[in-house]
Amino acid sequence: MSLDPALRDRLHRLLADYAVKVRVLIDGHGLGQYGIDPADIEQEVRIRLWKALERDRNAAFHTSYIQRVVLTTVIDAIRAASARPAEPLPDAVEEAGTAFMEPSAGPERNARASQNFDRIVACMAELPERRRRAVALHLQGFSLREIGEFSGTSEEAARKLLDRGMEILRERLATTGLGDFDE
Amino acid sequence: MSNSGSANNDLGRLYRRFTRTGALQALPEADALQALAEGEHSAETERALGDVARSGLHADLLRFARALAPESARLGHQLEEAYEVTMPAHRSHRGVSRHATSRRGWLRVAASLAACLVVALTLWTAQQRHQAPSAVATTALPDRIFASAEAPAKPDEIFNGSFKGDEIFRGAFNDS
Repeated sequence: MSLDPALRDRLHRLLADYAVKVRVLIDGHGLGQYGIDPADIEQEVRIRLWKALERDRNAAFHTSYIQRVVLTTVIDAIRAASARPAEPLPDAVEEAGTAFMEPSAGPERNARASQNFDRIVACMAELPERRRRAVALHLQGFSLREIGEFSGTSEEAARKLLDRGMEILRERLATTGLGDFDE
Repeated sequence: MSNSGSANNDLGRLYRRFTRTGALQALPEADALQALAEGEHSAETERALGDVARSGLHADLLRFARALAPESARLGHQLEEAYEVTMPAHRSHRGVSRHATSRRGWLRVAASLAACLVVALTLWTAQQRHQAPSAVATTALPDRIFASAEAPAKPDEIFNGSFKGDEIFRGAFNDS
């Protein structure tokens, strides 16, 4: 692509700025825990978008196209990381599930947490599909608005599905000895 | 929701932790994840949503995709603007396109006129061919009515005076 030097500089600067924002978002969403290096992603995104501009600059103007380039870059990087020999996960992930664990249980702690998780999953499996999905998305941290949007329902409908689903889940967990957490 | 207190947070943490660190998960398709992030609904996004519900990795990627959208839109706009401002050829390229479009319009009109002309000529020719055979016939076969003016006519059989007289009124009869 033979470009005016001023335009070339401007485009490089824009892509560099965007790649930095991508890196910040990767850090902010904890994607580093999947073994990827945000700095590598930043560089790769810049390169891929530049190549996209060289191929077809009109396509590269579309939001969806830009997002797809970034998502593909991130997913490829996670795939590459998962293909590497296993590395210990960062401490942040380890810390995340400690609330359900005995503070001084040592190796038993993880075993118990794992057992608790299995019980939760078993109890969720008994829920009707739509309620189960609403509960699972809620536990994954999505808001009612997001759950409604993803499921193609209103926020109010999502709330009803979630309320009823959580109520049944709590009852089931109580019967397995996990219902003693304070509401 | 009445039960969304710390217990739910603990439950959520445990759920996210184990759905993130479980056995190696199949990675999402970028297209499906993006479609889901943009609020589309299809069989593909349904499957992707099921994966998001089961997998912390998929859920994290979906959140990331949604957070990425405004920045991506901004970049697209900025790139386009950069071409517009920095490279006047980009604008003139559009001007050329418009010019080419109008020229194509004139060409279409001219082609239509040419086609009309061809049709008119064809019809006129066909009409001429239709009329031509009677003229030829006139030349080939002389008109019987007016032929006498051109060729020596055969003397009229009735009035040429050389006919044999009427036997009945001949007047040469005798009184026998």
